[in-house]
Amino acid sequence: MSPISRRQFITYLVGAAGAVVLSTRVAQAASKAGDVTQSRTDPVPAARKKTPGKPVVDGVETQAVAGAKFGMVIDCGACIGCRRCQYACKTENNTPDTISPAWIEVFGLKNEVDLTGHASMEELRQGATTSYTESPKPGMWYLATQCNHCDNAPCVQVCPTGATYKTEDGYVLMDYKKCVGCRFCVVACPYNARRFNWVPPKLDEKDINPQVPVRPVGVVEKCTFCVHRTRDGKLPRCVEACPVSARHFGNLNDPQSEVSRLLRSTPNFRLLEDLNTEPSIRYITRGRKFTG
Amino acid sequence: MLRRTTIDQHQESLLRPLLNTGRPFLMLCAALALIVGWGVYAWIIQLSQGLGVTAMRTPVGATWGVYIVNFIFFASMAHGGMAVSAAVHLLKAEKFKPLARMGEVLTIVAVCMAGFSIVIDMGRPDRVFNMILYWPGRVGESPLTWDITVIILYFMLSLSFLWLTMRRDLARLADRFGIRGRLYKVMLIGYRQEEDKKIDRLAYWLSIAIVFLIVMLSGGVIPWIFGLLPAQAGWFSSMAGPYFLTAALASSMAAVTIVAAVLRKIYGWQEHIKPDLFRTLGVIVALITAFYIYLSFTEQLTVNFAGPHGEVAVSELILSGELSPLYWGTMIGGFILPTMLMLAQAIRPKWFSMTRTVIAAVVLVIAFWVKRFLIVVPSLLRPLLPFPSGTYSPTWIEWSIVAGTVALAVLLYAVFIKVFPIVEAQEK
Amino acid sequence: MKWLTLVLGAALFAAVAWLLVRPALAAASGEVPAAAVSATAQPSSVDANYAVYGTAADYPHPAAPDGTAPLDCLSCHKQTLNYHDKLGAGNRACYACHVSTDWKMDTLQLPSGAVIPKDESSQLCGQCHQDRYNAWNEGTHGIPGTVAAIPCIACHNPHQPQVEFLNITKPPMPPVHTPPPLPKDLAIILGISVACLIAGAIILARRRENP
Repeated sequence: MSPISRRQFITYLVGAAGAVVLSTRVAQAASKAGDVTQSRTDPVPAARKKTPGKPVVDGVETQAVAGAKFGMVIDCGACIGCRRCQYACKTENNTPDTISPAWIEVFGLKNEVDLTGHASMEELRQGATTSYTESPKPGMWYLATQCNHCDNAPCVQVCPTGATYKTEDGYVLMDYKKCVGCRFCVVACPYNARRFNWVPPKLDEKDINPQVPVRPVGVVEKCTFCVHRTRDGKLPRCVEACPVSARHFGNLNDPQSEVSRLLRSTPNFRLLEDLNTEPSIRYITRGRKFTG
Repeated sequence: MLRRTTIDQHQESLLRPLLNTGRPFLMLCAALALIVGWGVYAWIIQLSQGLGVTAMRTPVGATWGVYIVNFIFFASMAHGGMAVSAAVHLLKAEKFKPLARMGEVLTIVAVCMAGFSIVIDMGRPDRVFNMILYWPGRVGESPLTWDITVIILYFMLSLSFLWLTMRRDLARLADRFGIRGRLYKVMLIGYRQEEDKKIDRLAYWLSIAIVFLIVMLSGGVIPWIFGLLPAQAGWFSSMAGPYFLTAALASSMAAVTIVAAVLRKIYGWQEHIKPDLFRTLGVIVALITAFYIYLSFTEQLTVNFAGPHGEVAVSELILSGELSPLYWGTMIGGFILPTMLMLAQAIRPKWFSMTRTVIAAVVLVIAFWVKRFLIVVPSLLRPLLPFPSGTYSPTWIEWSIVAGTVALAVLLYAVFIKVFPIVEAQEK
Repeated sequence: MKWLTLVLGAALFAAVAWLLVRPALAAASGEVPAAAVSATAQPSSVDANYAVYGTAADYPHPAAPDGTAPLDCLSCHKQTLNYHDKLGAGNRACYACHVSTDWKMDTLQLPSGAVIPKDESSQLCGQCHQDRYNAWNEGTHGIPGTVAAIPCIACHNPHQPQVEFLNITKPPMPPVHTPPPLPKDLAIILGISVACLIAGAIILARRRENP
């Protein structure tokens, strides 16, 4: 066999490298063209790609609300720890029983702890949770947490496929088709807000909400601020379900929105502020009386 | 044109693995194949039922478990061999030459097993190519993408290194063997005798690149998966890089020691691989492990002196909580004692014994696996928010798969020994 | 010296191996921490009292001469009021909601004096708690999906409305899946065959060395 010259070898090498890069780009473009969920700002009508009554597996994106930045305000003083928000979220978003608990977690913390969003050493050692059948308990306050849709989200930074992304109107959303289930985002989230489908989900047909995709096994999921409702001007399910109106949702960019007015009128804090994640959920402690 | 010179009788013994295959070898391979089969069976269960068959859970519990520990273990194991080869080529440390290829094959096999461990840990292994497909968009931001880049680069360079340096041996042997000879001829594509010197120069530069990648891999992208995340107390540390690098070098050199001693014993290569080699390796391993113990101590002191809540909670778990027997057992029995033994052997040469060195190396390798478990898992069991404390007790599926990957690594190594010459034959 | 080496090495190895095997043994029995499941509490309601103590018909009530004098409720009914004790002293607190002459307690009275049946109690709550009542009517207060379907008293005990919210919490969700158990027979077969093969390999190799 005749030896190849150095020049030929380098030519082959560069050619091969170019072919690899080109094919990657072609594959990416083809994948983009064939997958509607790839585009984040294309105006895809919600009714397309969906048969009424059938669960949507691939998900259909809605259009971002221009100029908005959605956020939530949770009133720890009003929260009674009943977990209605947790169960409403579960029903609305087709969360199976195997995601335990649901996307929302409500802690019961002792009153002696300062309301700064940091757990005490005692609570970290033992974990803070209350008996679900007795709420509220005297001497306790309740901290409801979920995905904070951070502006500086660590989960968005670490995802190797870009399956989780930050939208223009303030959401941090998931593209379930891209997720490979590496769970890097789960460990990167300081709020432990993300959930993983360890087993294939089991849902009754009648329990499925057709507006929300049913996630397959092996992908990560989390609170979406009910993007399928809120981009249409409705409230997230958890905000609706709260019996004591402890949750508020709205456009933080609009100075006249309920959340903006609330934040102007009362001191508020965010969880784990020093980690520089810039979360979009703020906590107030107006008290147990509902003043409207 | 293939080389026609012959090797002398003295060197003929180096070809023993290629010439004789006895029943003990086949029985060992059968045993390994059984373990690998069991691992595959466990993996099939995992693929059909989802990762819920492991003990990993969110949000309370460990999100990453023994699979990631296994990944770190194998990825760091992939350095000792290349470090030895690099020493041979860069520092002209000729006495390590017999160990060079043994180490290189260990590297290749270990990187393969590391990649395999990652695929096993993924929730959607069918989408593994997504990580390549979306590489251009993510390489600027995601530590996992950097990890993939560096591992693939390292693997490619190591494989090329192995292939290129093996060609002169294959050229000598291609005519002696039948089927293997044909395989050799394929791998000898374009071979000419003049290329040997060029290969030496190439190996020199490749070694430099590989040493740089060793630091970037085990002291870089892998620790940065953990060290860059403030979300997990106990992970977020600037010391993660040096910490992992030290562990990698120590455990991989210990692994090279074990492999060399085992092969030397089995194939009777006492003349070719002198005990002096093991004395040097022992000293190197001991010194690196001593430095690792110092780094561990520094880490614990920093956390416990006036550390924040999260760090103290994690530290409590490993120093005095339910993981403390494992921690103290590993630190004392797994690190301090073998290190002291090997340092004593270094200071007093007449206390040196091959058996003791190899046993100490085996203990060190196991201890490093356990130590990585103690790095990955405890932080995940103590989140920053007041979730209930998690526990993690790996299931039989996880242990089976881990055992399967280890058995597969040994099996692949054994197959290599039978197909290619594992020690470079010297020319007369 | 060689024996000492072997003994020391074996002891060290055994100690480290035991530390590793212990959790594996625990795992092999298929144990996985299950989420705590607490017992579901029995929902209590005001009617539970009737079940225990009987209804009004079972007790003789002093009949007013002309049926218009207010009854002295507290002489028999010991009722502790929380927050709603602000509605008046003694029996006056009772008369704030109950019709003072209706000893069957089938009716309630609004502040205007109008009498409403007991089933429409929510209207009465709304007289003071107007915002809450409006929210409940719109569906943003109370159990979702049951707008105006269940009354206020289904969750709030009208006598102690603030301290305990009846029926408002649900029991915790069922525990998650447990991993499959180890197939013990297969594992034993594997263990024995691997052990035999390795032992055989070592013995044959030694025999080859020292014939």
